[in-house]
Amino acid sequence: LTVIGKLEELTLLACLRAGNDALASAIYERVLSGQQNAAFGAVYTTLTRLTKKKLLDESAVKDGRGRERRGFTITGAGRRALAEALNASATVGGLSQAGGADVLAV
Amino acid sequence: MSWQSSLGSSVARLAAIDADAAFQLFLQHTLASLSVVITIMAVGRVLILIAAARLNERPVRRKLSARSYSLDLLLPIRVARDAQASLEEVMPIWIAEWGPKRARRIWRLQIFLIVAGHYTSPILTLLERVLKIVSGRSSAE
Repeated sequence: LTVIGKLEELTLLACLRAGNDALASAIYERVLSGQQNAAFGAVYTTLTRLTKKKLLDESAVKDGRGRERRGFTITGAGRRALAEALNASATVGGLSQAGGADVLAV
Repeated sequence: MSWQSSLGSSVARLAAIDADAAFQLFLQHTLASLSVVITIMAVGRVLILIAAARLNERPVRRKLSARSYSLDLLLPIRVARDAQASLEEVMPIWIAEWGPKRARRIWRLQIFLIVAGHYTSPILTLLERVLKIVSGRSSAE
């Protein structure tokens, strides 16, 4: 079991959606669509940390301008960790069981 | 008329006028030439001044995402190149949302975050391992 934080969860999810060998900028754009105030520096550092944890796989890819870039692909361990995190959220915070979106009203 | 006859007539005219008249003619020609030269110089100077004023009035166009040397200096070259390229790609989002001035500030802050994150990441990993050991879970997980 690998416990991941919220930003790590979002980053893994964005990486999964962005496909194989996704660039950091593409992943960040997807993270932004879910969390408006996410900092690029934080997402970039998270990508590096997830790579070190072996939840992401890093490879060298060429971008449109021929520059060598870091491409990120989610690994099997990453998928499992993401599934665990999403299941945990769904189990603990299942909104439908707790009374729908009304419980979030302040 | 051939050039010999033209020269001959000029010499004959010169011989006909006296020294005072010749001096006055010389003076007139010299003054006329000087006035032409001064006018040309004045016009040239005005043109140069106009060009200089236009140059000074032209707004300075700085590149919105110039190369960051701090990334090159402080990070491994592979990471620095990728971070720089990624920042260039992300910059238009910030410009569209916040305008060029604030986007540039955000860009600088992100460079700091990337560099700081690069060096604090191993410390965080170590802390996570220590926490795992303390909480009784296997560090191999």
